[in-house]
Amino acid sequence: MTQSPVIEARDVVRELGTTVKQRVVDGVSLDIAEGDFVSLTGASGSGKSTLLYLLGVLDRPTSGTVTVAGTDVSALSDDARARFRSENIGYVFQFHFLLPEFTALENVVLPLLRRGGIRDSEANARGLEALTALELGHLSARLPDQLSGGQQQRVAIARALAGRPRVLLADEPTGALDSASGEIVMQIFERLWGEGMTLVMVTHDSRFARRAPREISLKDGRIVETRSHDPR
Amino acid sequence: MKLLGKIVLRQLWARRGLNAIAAVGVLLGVLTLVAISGIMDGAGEKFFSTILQVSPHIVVRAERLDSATTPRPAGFEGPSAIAYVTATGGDPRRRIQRPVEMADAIEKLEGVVAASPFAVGTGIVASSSKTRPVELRGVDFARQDRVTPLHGYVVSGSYASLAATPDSALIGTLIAADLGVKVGDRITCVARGQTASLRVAAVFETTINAVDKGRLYVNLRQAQSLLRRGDGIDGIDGIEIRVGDPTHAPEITTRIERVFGYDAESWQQVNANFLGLLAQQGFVVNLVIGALLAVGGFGILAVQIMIVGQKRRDIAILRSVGFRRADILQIFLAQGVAIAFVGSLFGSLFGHFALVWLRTVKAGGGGGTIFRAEFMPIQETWQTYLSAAAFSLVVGALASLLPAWRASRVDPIDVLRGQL
Ligand SMILES: Nc1ncnc2c1ncn2[C@@H]1O[C@H](COP(=O)(O)OP(=O)(O)O)[C@@H](O)[C@H]1O
Ligand SMILES: [Mg+2]
Repeated sequence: MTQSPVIEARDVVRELGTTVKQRVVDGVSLDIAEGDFVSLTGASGSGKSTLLYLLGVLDRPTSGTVTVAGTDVSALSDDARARFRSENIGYVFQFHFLLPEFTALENVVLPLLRRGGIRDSEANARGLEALTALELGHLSARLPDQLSGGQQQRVAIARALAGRPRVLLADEPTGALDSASGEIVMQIFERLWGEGMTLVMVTHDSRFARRAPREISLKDGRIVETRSHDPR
Repeated sequence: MKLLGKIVLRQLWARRGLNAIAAVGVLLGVLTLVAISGIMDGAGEKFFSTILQVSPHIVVRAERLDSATTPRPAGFEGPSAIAYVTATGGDPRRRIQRPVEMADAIEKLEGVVAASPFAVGTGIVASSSKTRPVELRGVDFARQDRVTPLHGYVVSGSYASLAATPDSALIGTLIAADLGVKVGDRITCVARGQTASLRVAAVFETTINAVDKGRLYVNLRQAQSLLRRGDGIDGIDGIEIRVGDPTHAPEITTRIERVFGYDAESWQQVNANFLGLLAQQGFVVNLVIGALLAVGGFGILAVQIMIVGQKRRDIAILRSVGFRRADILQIFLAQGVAIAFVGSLFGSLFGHFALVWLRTVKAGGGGGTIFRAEFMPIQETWQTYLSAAAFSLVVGALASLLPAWRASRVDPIDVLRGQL
């Protein structure tokens, strides 16, 4: 493919810590092309989450550049970055992070409504579509605490997808789930990839990491290995 | 914005217990404000609405002002005033010249409803058993009634009969009770060594203690002879005036002084002490209520800080899915204002109920030593409710400013890292 990558990181460095500066991400360069499915692995504390926040425009690099969908995001203002996130990036975290006062459908629709330019009815239709695609249509009126952990995580995935993002970023999406629920989430990711979605998934579970065609391993904030796997 | 409003309402409802506690703080402040304002305004209104009926709005005293301010008709006062001043202008004597003509001239001034000359002095009244000091007032009863419509306050006897006989007297209920006399009884009045026998022709009750206890009205001629005054020129101490709008009395007073050259005083000047006391009292009460509402504000502040602390995770979600800092700020500011609004709404409602109940309370003396009332006088004004609402909303906004700002500074990454 000759297309320019969805995400392009060049010599990205992120220092953390107030008194003692620590290079949590130390000179990472990588390209994530349209339709890629990449898993990020490494020991705990190796900088996987920090890198994901940088790629996802949540955090700014100390040095280096991150370009997402052709836009150099380090140049954007805070509000512009918020808008950019809502238009281009979907997140799934280890914990589902749903708003407890809102139903499953409302949680899915909230980011769409904030982005604007869409009628309530249309947003609701899209939200319901996203939930139905994850076999949650019948639970759309439930509050988060009336759903199981696996169902909550699927609602969070639906929320990430309802905005039709260019790329889906997931930070240990199966980490808090039992193996059956984790397997369901993994199958969803594989299906999305099959449908052309670009995915980046942080995981410490090597069985899941192997199911992505490309696995990038981090150690002390550096890329130490890139492996290809045969997708099934 | 509709979406933010929805989030605000949901979050408020989800923490309704905590928010209700915060709202109660505002409620108590507003309740107190409404109740105290109702009582204070009621007492003030009761006093002044009566005083403005039974006492003149302006008194012109028979005292020439400094010759430096030689009276001159200002030109717009009308031909009657010019004629009067031209006729009497240069006279150096202190007494009012041709009081009836002057009263007529004053009545023609814009804003003046009626004017009536009077004589006044101190005297002693006595029944067969008791004596009391009084303010002896000589008036033209018919003319005086247009200035101070006392006939409306007569509780026994008849006002109309007062002018018919030269020895009739009009007294207040408190003197009548003190002396143990009723209509038809005779009383003796002593002033400047002179004695006169008077017949009580009517008794009035204004409920203002000082008036009901202090005033003895007689015909002008009677008073002049008791006070050893001549009739006509030298027998008048001043002119009492009623104006259309009592709030304009000070301006009209100034105009009368300028045109006629006699010292005049508005009811506001006469009651300056009492008005000043009321204003001072009002200030102190406002201070206390302000402090109460500020305490309510601290309630909101405490609850909001707590909620923002608990909501860091939700704030992080909203921020990561595209909500701006300003959105978060607005959400929490609106929550504080909404709590204050609900508090002030219920505070106003309960305050209103409190006043409705207070109206039915038998007033033990009402205004204490100032007036008597069967029920506590209450005055409700929309200004009170409006200022209560406005003040609480400001308090709500100020109280949630800090928590809302802190909420808007929440960095989603910090929260996400904390969760890992
Ligand atoms: N706010 C912070 N200040 C200083 N160091 C931090 C901060 N947050 C994380 N770190 C450090 O950064 C390193 C990488 O963290 P993280 O990206 O969460 O790793 P991973 O997701 O691979 O477990 C860890 O060593 C952690 O201690
Ligand atoms: Mg991590």
